[in-house]
Amino acid sequence: MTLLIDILSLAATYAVMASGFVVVYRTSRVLNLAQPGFVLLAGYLAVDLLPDAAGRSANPWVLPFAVVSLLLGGAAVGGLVYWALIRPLAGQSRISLIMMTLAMLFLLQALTQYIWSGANSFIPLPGNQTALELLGSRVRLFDLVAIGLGALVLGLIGVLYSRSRFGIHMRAVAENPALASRRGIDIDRVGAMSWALATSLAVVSALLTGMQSPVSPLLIGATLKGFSVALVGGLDSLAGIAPAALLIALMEVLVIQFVDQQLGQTVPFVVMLAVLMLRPWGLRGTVEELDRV
Amino acid sequence: MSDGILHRARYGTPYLLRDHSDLVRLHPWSIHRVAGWALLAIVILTLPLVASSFFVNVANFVLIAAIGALGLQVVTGMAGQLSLGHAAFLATGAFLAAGLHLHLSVPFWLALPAAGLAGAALGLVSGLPALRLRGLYLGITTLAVQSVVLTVALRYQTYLQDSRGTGADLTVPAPTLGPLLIDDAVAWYPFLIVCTTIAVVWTSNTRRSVLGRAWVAVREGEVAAEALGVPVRGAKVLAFVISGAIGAIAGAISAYYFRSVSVEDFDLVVSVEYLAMIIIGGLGTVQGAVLGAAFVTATPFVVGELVLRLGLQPTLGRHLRSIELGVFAVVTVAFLLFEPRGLSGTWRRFRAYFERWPYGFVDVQRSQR
Repeated sequence: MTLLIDILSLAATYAVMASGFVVVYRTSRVLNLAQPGFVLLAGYLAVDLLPDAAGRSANPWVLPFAVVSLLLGGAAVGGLVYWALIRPLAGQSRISLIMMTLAMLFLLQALTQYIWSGANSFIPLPGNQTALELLGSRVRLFDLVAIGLGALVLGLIGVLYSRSRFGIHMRAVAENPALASRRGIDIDRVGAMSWALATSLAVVSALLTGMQSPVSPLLIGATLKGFSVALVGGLDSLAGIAPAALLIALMEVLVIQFVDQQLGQTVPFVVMLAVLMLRPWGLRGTVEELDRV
Repeated sequence: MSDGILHRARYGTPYLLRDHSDLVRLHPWSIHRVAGWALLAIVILTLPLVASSFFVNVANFVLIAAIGALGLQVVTGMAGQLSLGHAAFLATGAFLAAGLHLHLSVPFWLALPAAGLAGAALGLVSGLPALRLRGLYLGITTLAVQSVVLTVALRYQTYLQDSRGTGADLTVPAPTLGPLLIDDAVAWYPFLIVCTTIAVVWTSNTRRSVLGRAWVAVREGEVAAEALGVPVRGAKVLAFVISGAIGAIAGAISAYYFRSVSVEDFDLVVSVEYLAMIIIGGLGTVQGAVLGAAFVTATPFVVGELVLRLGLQPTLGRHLRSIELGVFAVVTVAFLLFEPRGLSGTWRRFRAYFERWPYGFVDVQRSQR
C-alpha cells in the first residue's frame, strides 16, 4: 500500500514536470530546457514568499493569495520570455533555439545562485507532519495531496485542450502553424499562452517537489527526470504523459525499494534510452514528428 | 597560369574552376589581404614577448578551446548534426592520455595520435544513431553518450584512488618533444599555435573538399543531398568520427597542459560552452570556431579582472562563479538575438565595409539561415 502511494505521488510529480515540457513543445516546437531553471526559481520564491506558521495563524488568507500570485506571476514571466526571447528567433535553426533555452537555464541558475547561494530550505506548507490511517497503513497527507494535484492538473490541461476555444487554437497550431495562421489564429498569442502555461506548471511542480524534499540546486536534476518522462511519452503528446509517468515512477520506486538507492536515480534515463531505441517518437507521440524535428 | 588554361581548354570549358588553386588565382593578393595576414602574424608572434604570463596563459586556454571547438564545428556547424556531448570526446582524450602515461608511460607525442584514434572510435559509436535519428533526438543520444563516458571515467578514477592511493585527480608530467621540455605557458604557446594552425588549415581544406561540401549538403537538406548522389550516411558518420578525433586530441593536450585530469572538468556545462562557442562565433565557419573559442574562454577572465580592477572584490568575490555564468548566459542570448550569424558575420560586414568603401554594402546572406 505504501509502495503504491509512493509510486502514485512520484508519478504525479513527474507528470506535472513533463507537461511543462510538452505544452511548449507542442505549440512552438521548442525544447524548453529552461524549465528546470523556472522550477528552481519558483521553489526559492515560494520559500521566501509563502507565510510560515505564525503568518498563517495571523491571517489565513495569505497562503492562498501567495500561491495564486505565484502562479499568475509565473504565467506573466512565461509570456514575457516568449515575447522577448523566443519569438525573435523564428525561422532560425533549431540549434539556435536549443541554445537559447540552455542560456536561459544558465541565467536562471546564475540568478538563483547569486541571490540564495545554493541554500537548502523547505517550503513552509501546512500539514507537513500530518499522516493518515488508510486501509491499515500510515500515509502522509502530502502524498495524497500530490496525487490529487497531479491528477487535477492533467485533467485541467486535458479539458483545456479538448473543450475550450483556446485549446483548439493550440491544437491547430501544433498540427500546422502556417495553415493555422492562415485561418486567422494569432500564433504569437498561442505561443505566449503556452509558455505562460508552462511556467505556471513550473510553479506547481516546484510546490509538489517542495512537499517531498527541500528546495536546492539539485532540483534542476530532478526536473530533468520530468524531461525524460516527456520523451518517453512522446514530446508532442499529452496523452502519453500519464502512462509514461506511471511507468517510470513504478520502475524507479521498485528499483529503490528492492535493488539500490543510487541506481534508482538513473532509472528514468535508462528507461528513456530504452524507449528511444525502440520507439524514438515515444509511447504516444506522432511518428512523422521525427522527420519534422 | 597559361598551362592551367591550356589544360582546362583541353579537358573542358576554359572557364571551369576545377580546384582550389583555380579559385585562389581568381582573387589575387590585394593590399588588404597582405596587410591583414601580416598584422595577424605580428600579433601572434609578439604576444608572448609583450603580454604578461597571465595573458599568455589565457591565450593558451583559447588555443586549446579553439581546437576543440573546430571538432564540434565539423559535426554541428558543417554537417548540421546536433551534438550535445562534445565534452565526452574531450574527456576520452584526456583520460586516455593520462591513463596511457600512468600504466604504460607512453610519451606525449604518441599519446596525441592515440587519443585521436580513441576519439574517432567513440565518434563512430555516437554517430551511429545519426543514421536513424535527427535533430533533437540525436542531441539527446549524444547526451547519453556523454553520461556513459563520464560514468566510466568516474569509475576509473575511483578505482585508481582505491588501488593506488593516488589523489583525486590523475596527474601527468610536463611533456617533452624531442629535446624540448614544455613546462610553462610561454613554452606551450608556440606548440599550441602550431597545433591550432594545423587544425584550422586542415578543417578549412576539408570544408572545401568533396567531403566538406557533402556535409553542407546534408545540413541544408538531407533528401535533396541524397537525390544529388551525396552519400548521406557516410558523411554523417564520418563527421562524428572526425569531430571525436579532433575533440579527443584537444582533450589530450589539455590534460598535459593542466597536468591533471578530473571528471568534474568535463560535465554538461562544458559541452554547452562548446556549443555556445560555435554559435557565438558563427555556425559552420572555421574562423567562427576560433573567434567563438576566444570569446567564450576569455570572457570569465575579463569579468574576474574587471571585478578586481573596480574594487568590487569584497562585495562580489563570493558570487564570482554565478556572475561568470550569468555573463556567459546574457552574452549568448544577446548574440542569438542581435547577431545570429555570430562573430564571423560581424567580421564579414566589417571587412566588406572597408574593402568596398566608399560604396555601400548590403549583406545578402543576412536573411538566410
